[in-house]
Amino acid sequence: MTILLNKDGLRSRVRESDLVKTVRKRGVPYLLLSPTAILMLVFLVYPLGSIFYFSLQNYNVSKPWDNGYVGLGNFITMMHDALFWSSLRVTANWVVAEVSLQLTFGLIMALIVNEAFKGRGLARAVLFSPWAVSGVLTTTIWLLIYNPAVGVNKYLADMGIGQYGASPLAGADSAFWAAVLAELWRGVPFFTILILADLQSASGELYEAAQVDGAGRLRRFWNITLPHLKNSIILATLLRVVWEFNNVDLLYTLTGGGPANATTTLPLYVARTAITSKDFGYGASLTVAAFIILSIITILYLRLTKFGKGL
Amino acid sequence: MEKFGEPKISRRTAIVTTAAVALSLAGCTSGGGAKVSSTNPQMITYWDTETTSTRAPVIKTMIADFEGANPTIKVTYVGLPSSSYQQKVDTAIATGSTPDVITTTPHDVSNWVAQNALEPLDTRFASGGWTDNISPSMVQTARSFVGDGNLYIAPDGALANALWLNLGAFNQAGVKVPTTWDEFFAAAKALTHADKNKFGYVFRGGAGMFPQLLCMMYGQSGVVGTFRGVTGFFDANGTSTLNDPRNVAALERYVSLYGHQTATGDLTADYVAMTAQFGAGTAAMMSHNLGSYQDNAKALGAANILGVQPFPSEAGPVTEAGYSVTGNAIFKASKNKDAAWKFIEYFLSPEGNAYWNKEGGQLPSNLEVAKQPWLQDQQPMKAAIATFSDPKTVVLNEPWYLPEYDSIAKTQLEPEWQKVLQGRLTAKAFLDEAANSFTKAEAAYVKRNPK
Repeated sequence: MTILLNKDGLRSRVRESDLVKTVRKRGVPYLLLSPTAILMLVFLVYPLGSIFYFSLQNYNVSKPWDNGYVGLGNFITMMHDALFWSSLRVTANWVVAEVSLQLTFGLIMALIVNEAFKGRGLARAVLFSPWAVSGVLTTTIWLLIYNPAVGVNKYLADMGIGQYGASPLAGADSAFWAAVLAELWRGVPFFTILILADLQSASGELYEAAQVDGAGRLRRFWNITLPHLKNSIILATLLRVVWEFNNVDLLYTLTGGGPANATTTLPLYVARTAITSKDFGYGASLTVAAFIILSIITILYLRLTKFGKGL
Repeated sequence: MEKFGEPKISRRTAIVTTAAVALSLAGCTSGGGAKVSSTNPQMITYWDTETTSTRAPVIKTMIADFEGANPTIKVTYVGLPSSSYQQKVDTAIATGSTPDVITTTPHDVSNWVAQNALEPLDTRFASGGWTDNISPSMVQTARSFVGDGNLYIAPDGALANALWLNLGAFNQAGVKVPTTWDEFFAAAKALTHADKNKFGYVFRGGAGMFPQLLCMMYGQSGVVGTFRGVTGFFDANGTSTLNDPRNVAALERYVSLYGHQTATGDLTADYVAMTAQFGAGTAAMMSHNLGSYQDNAKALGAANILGVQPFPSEAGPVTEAGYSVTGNAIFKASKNKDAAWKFIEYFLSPEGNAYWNKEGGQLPSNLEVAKQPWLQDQQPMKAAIATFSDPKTVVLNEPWYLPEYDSIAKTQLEPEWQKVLQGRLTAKAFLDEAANSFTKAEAAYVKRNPK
């Protein structure tokens, strides 16, 4: 840096230095954040904004002559759409069934494979493997299992149990639970892995002390293990609630939302409205409804569970 | 001796070198002026929207033959499953990433034309001399797919519906091949032994159920109307005949098969599940178009299957529903339209048209091919030709030109059909709903396209 000798030069140098310092202090962090902000703008804000925009439009690509601004028209239609309410009900049942069962079985499996026993490595590999299978492959496997000609039903009928030609996917209730089972098989490893990871950081001394004090297995689980796992369970549950709410791939390929809309969840209804009916305007309004519902659930959930705060 | 500061190469050499580099770079850009040849061919992409394990090898053989005869054109084949191609194509249209050529089904054309995605082929078709060589009725049917009457697909074949019979099952059970609807229902009953996993018929209760339903319903009733010169399921007033009392009775009789002469699992059966049941010998009869000939012949042997045409309806003549024309289309965004059209012409040519339709079990569009002896050797084809040649046969033309067709037939009616099979909805209520939707759609279409 050149040192200026006259008074004006000295003053100029001081002002420039303050400006540089200010920019560096305040501006550089924003500069460093800008790539993330740009990515969020492109992949989050813009798509979200588009959905809200199209939800106010009549937009059907195969009927362009009808397209145009309709305000809240799509939302008014939605309120009177029986299939919208039915799909919400199916979605709620689906999320509650899946998440509660995945959490329960995931926790049990994690506790089991956390114990030391012979073949634990193999047991862990077998338990975790469904998580590595793609959604489409999962449904292919389960479609074969449920196939009336070559699946479980056929072999049961050979033994005199049930009827030939029957399929769990053909009944309204049985199709729902058949899909729940398929997704359960895929989803349990997620909880198992997360909970098992958290269990590794549990203090062994606490367990020893509790044992010395005469606490049984159940007491140790309730008073030590569960509080330790609280935050990971809360977070994992929230993630699974969101993912299962938005689940489309398994239901689309396994049941297509049938039979007779018995397994049509809200996201599946959105997919059918947009893809088959080409009605992107109404599909967007359904998506906005799903967004609002999920946001409310997430905020309430985090508040009620006091995520991040100790018990 | 080189002086300090002087360039190491002469100015002239530098200019010549720069020019040579620039010229070679220009030659590397596609379409940048480099001559098309067998070592620098034109690339076109072809999407097949109905790919199956039996169909893909047929198309790939045709591509190889075409490339052999046209070494300056290379075709990249992409097979898409019929259950999910629509999303991919709509996305491609929206993002401007469409292929050059695509196979079409009738209800795709109006949707893609509405999105201004397809190239009209009238001029190319006429200037290629195809007007005199391709079946005029198939061309007319292809024109009817869109309200503007333009030709957006080059029709290379037609599909007619058939009732497929497993002759081995019939012979084993000592049941006569049916020739009337009463005999069909009796045969289904006689061939059903549910305790032995044998059923007389297989329903398509899942995706794609509508064409089968129309065939079995209108095939029995024969109730067909004519509206604006087109024989279909609208009467002279533009009202749908779907819920005509005779159709209701026909559908009720058809539905009575479910769960008794069919497996209950048929409720969700799509094309794959349906043909698998028929091919495995679990179901003795199946209703589907001639396009399943390859799959059926592969599973049971050509000599063991029979593809019979609809029986005479209550109204008298045979009512043929499920007739459709197939062909290839060019996307407007294609940068190689001439090469794309040359490829499509191969499907229209005598050589290509014969191979394509013989392997695919379709009625050929090329008039010369239609006279070839192999058509009389394939029983399903012979039966279909005889039916269409009979002047008394009535053809039910479906309103594929309606942009709501897929929305009504698939999104709306497929779940309702399953309710009918489950006994939760009557056939009448189902047909009333279908008729109302189609009548409304037709009225809107007439308003947009007054004649």
